[in-house]
Amino acid sequence: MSAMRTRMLPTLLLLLTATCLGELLDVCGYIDPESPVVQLGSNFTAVCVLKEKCMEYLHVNADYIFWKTNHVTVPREQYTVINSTASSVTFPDFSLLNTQLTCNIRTFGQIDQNVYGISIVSGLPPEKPKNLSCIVNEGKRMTCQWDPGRETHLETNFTLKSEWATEKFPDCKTKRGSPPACTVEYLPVYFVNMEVWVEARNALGEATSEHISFDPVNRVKPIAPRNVSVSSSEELPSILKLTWATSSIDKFLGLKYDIQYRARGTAAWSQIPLEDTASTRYSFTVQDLRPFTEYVFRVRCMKEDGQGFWSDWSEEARGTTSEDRPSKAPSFWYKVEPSPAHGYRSVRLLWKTLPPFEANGKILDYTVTLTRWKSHSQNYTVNDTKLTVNLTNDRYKAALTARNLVGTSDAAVLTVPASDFPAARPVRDLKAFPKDSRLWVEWTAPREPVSKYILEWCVLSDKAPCVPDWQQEDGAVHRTHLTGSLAESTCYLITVTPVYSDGPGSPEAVRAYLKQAPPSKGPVVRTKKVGKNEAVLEWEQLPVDVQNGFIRNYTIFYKTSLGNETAVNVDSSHTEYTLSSLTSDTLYMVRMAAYTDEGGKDGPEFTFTTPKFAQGEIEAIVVPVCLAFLLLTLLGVLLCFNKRDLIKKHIWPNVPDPSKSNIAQWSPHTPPRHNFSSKDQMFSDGALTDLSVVEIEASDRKPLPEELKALDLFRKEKLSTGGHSSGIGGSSCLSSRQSLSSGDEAEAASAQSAASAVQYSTVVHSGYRHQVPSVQVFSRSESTQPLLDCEERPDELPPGEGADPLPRQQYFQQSCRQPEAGPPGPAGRPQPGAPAGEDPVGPGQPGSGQLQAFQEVPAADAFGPGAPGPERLEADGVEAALDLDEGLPKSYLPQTVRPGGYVPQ
Amino acid sequence: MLNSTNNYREDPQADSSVSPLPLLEAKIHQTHSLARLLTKYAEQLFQEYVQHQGDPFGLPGFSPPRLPVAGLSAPAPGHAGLPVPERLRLDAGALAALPPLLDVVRRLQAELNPRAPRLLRRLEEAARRARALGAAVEAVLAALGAEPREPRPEPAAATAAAAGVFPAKVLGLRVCSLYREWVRCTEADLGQLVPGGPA
Repeated sequence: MSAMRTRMLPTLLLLLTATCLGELLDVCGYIDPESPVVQLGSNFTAVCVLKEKCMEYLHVNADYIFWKTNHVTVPREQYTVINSTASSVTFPDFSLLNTQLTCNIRTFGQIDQNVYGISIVSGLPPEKPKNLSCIVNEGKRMTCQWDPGRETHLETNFTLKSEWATEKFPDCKTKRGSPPACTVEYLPVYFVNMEVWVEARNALGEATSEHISFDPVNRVKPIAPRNVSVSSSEELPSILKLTWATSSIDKFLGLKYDIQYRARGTAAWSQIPLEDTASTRYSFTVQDLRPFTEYVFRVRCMKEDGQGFWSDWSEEARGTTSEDRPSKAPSFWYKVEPSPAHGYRSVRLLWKTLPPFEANGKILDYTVTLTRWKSHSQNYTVNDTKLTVNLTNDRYKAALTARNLVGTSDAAVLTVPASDFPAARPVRDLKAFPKDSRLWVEWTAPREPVSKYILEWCVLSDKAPCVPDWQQEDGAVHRTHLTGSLAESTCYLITVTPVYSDGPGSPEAVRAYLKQAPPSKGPVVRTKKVGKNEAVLEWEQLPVDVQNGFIRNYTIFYKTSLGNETAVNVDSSHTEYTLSSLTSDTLYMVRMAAYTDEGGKDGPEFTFTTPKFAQGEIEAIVVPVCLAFLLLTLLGVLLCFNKRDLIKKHIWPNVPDPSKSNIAQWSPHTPPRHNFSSKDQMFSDGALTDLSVVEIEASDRKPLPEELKALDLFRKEKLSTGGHSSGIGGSSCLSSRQSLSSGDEAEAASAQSAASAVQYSTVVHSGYRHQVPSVQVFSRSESTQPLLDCEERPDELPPGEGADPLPRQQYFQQSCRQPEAGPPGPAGRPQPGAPAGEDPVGPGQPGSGQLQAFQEVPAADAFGPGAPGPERLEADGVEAALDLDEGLPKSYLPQTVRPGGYVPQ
Repeated sequence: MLNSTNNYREDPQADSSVSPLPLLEAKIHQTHSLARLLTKYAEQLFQEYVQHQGDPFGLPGFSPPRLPVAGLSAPAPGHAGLPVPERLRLDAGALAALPPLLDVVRRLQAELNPRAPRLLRRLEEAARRARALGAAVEAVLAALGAEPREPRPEPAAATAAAAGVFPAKVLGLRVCSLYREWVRCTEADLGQLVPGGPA
C-alpha cells in the first residue's frame, strides 16, 4: 500500500505541474487515429502510444495496455505490441456503429486506468444517386429530385449542380434531413439546354449521378388555365361553349388541352378526346349534351408536343344547356277507389314527374285525355301529378302528356278496364333481392305481350299503413331496381302488375329488405305451463318494425343458476316450445334470441321454477291418506260406540251423587278374593307404617325385567285405582279407612269400629283389573248427611274397632288424622317419612290431583332424608310390590256397589 | 376521373410524345424559340427600365440621343441583306458583347434604383439569356458548318461612359435598346432557317 502511494504521488505531482504550466491535462498517452471514420465491413487498426513519463511513474509499458470497445474488453488476440510504448488493436470486418474505443493500462495493484479514448464513426460511402429528374413549374424555379441510394449512416451532403454550355449556375445543396430534392435559386431559361447532376459526399467518399441534359421548357408544368366560363346556345339545347385563359407561356410555346365534364350530381367525368384539343386554343364547344342539364367543366394544359407535365386542373365551371321538349311520356298508373254513387267508380289517375333528363325543361302542366269506349273524350289540364275522376263501369282509355316551354311530350296511354274486367295473367317467379345497395326485382314475363309493368312497394309496419310508391317499367324489362328512397332494415312489400293492352293483369307480391340487420328487440319468452320436468315456453312473433330482416330462427337459451347454458334452435314459424328433461324444484333462467341473416338479438330473461311435484302428485298422496285417516277415524268411532260402556267405565265412570245417596246394603258375605296376610307378614320389620309403594321415575325408566314389569303394571293399577277412588275419597274418610290396608292398626281398628257409620267410599264393584270383584254387594250410603264422627273427631274412635277383619289395600290407606290440615285430600295418602299433615299436594286437591301428587312427589321428599337412595328404595318397593302381587293377603276388603245401599261391616 | 398530380415523376403523360427532330433542325428550332422568347423579354425589360428611370424617360416625347456604346453598335441597315451565316455571326458577336454591358447597367441601376429588384433581376437574366442565345447561335453556326466569329475584345469603355446619373440612365436605356434590337434581329435571322419560316 505504501508502495502504491509512492507511485501515485508523483503522478499527481506531474498532473499538478502540467496544470500549473497551463495545460489542462497531460494524458499518459494517445490513440491514433484521433477521430476515425470507418467503413462498415472494413478492417480498422488503432494504435495506443504511452508517454515515457507515465511509463516511468507508473512502471508500465505497452504490454500493460488493453483495449475496450463500449466498455467491453477486446480480446488480446487482436492486440499487437509494436514496441515498449505502443500497442495496436485491429478490428477485422468492422461492423459497429458509433463505437467508443479506449486504451487502458493495468497498474500495480490491478488498478485499471484509462489512458485515452476515441469515438469511431462507421458507415458507408454514398451510392451514386439515381433517377434524377427535374420539373419547372411555370413562373417558379426548377426543382430536381433523385434517389439517394442506400443508407450511409453518416452525414451525407447532396449537391445539385447545373450549368449551361457557357456558364455554371450556383450549386443547390440539400438541407440535412430533408428529402432528396433541391430547388435552384435561379429562374430557368427556356430553350437553352442545361446539364444537371447530383453529387453525394460524406466522410467515406463521394458519388456523382448521371448528368442529364434538357431544355427546361421540356420540363415545364404550365400554370392551370384560368377564367374558365361556360355559355349555352339558345338554338342548340345540346351544346355548351367553354372558354378559358392561359398564362403567357403560350406566347412562345404551343399548348394542348384536356377538357372533362360531367352532369351535376354525377361523379364520373366525361373526356373530350385529346386530339380535338391538341393545339393552342382558348375555347371549346362541347356537344351531345342533354337539354336543360347543368354541367361541370374543368380544363388543364401542357406543352403541345407532350414534353413536360400537365398543369393542375382549372377551377370547375358550371353551365346549363337550353330547354327542349320532353323526351319521354310520364309514367302513368291508376287506382280504383270505391264510389258512393251507384254505377260509378272513383278512379285516381297517377303519374310521375319526369326526371330532368327527360323533362328537358320545366314542366308547366299535364294534360289528361279520357276517352270512353266509342264515345267522346274529355281533357283535363292539371299541374299536379294525380287526377281523380268518377267513371262509369265502362272501359276507358286515358292519355297523358307533359308540357314545357318548348313543347309537349309523347302521350302515355293507359287502359282503365271495365269494372267487371277479370284481372289475370300475372308475372311468374317474382323475386326481390338486394344488390349493390339497391333493391332489385326480377320476374318472368307472362306469355302474352306486356305493354309495361307497374311496380308498387310500401313499407310494412305495425304502426303505419302501407302507403305505396310505384314506378313504371317498359314491357321488355323483366329485371329492375326500385328507384325510390329506400331505407335499410325495413320490410318492403313489392307488387308487380303487368299491364296489357286491354288492362292490368293480376298483381304478384313479394317481401324484401334492402339490407337486413339484427332485430331491434328480442322475443319475450314466457312460460305457458311448467311441469316437474318440462316447461312449455311461448312467445309472440316479433313485430315487423323490430324484425329488421327475415327472422330465420329462434334460439332458446336456458340454464339453472349454477349450470351451463343450453341453447335450442327453434324454427321461426313456431311460437311455442317445450323444454324437457328439466330438473324438478329448480330455478331456470331462460331467454330467447331471434336471428336474421345479419345476426340476432336477445330478449329479456325470464325465470321460472319447476315444481317439486308433478301436477296431481300431491293429490295422489294426500287423498288416500285422508281417506285412510277418515276411515280409521270412522272405525274408531264405531269401535268406541260399540265399546262405549267399557270406555265410559275407564274414562268417566259414573260418580254417585252423595246428595242422592241412601242407605245401601253391603254384602259382607262375599269373601275377599285376596286374603291379605297380616300387616306383619308384609312388613315384618315394621319399618314402613303406611305405604310401601315405590315411585318409578318416568325419566329413569329402563327396560324392566319381567318381575319389574309386573311391578310397573301394578303401579299403573294402583294409579288407576287411586283415580277410581278419587271421586269418593275426597269426602269419605270412612270408606277410605275401609279400603286401606295400612299397617296402622290403630287407625284400621278405628275405622272398623265405625260399623255403624255411613260409608262414603267408592266401591270397585267389578274388581280392579285382574282382581275379580266379589259378588257381595256392599251397601253404601248415598245420603247427604254430615260427615261421620270419625272424620270430625277421629280421636274419639273406639279402640276396639281397630281390628279390621276386612282386607285392606295399603295404598288406599288414608289417614283420618288430618282434620287440622283442612279438608282431607281425596284418597290422600300419608307420605312416608313425613307427617300426615304435611301432604305436599296440599289440602283440597281433587281426585285427579291426588294422582298428580302421587306422580310428582319427589323421592327425596317422599322418603325423607333418612331414606336410602332412590335405587334402593325402588328395589325395596319392587320387593314390596312383588309381595303384594304374589297373592299375599292384602288388607283389602272387596266392595261391591249396590245402588241404593251398602252393607255395614 | 382523371386527376392531375404534383408528383411529376409519376405523371404518365410526361415526355410521352417527344418528336425527335433532326439535330440541326431541332437546334435551329430551339434557338429560334429562344430568340423569340428573348425578344419578348427584351421588350419587357426595356419597358420596365424606362418605367424606373423617371422623367423625362417615361414621357412620350422623350427621345434621347442614340449615343454610341463602346464595343457595340446597332444592327446595320443592310444587315438583312447579308447571308444568313454572316448575319448569324454578327448576331453572335453582338450577343456576346451585350452581357457585359447589361451587367454594367445592372450595377448602375443597383445604385440608382436599389428598390427595383425585378428590374435588377431582369437585367441579370437578360445578360445570362444573351449569353445563352449567343452560344446557341454559335452552335447553330457550327452545325451549319460556318466559321465561328472572331473573338472580340471586352467593351472596356462601357464603364467609363457611365459617369453621372443621367448618362448612366441613358447608357442603360441605350443598352436595353440594343439588346432588344439584336435579339429581334437574331430571331429574324434564325427565322430564315426554320422550316416553314420566311425564306
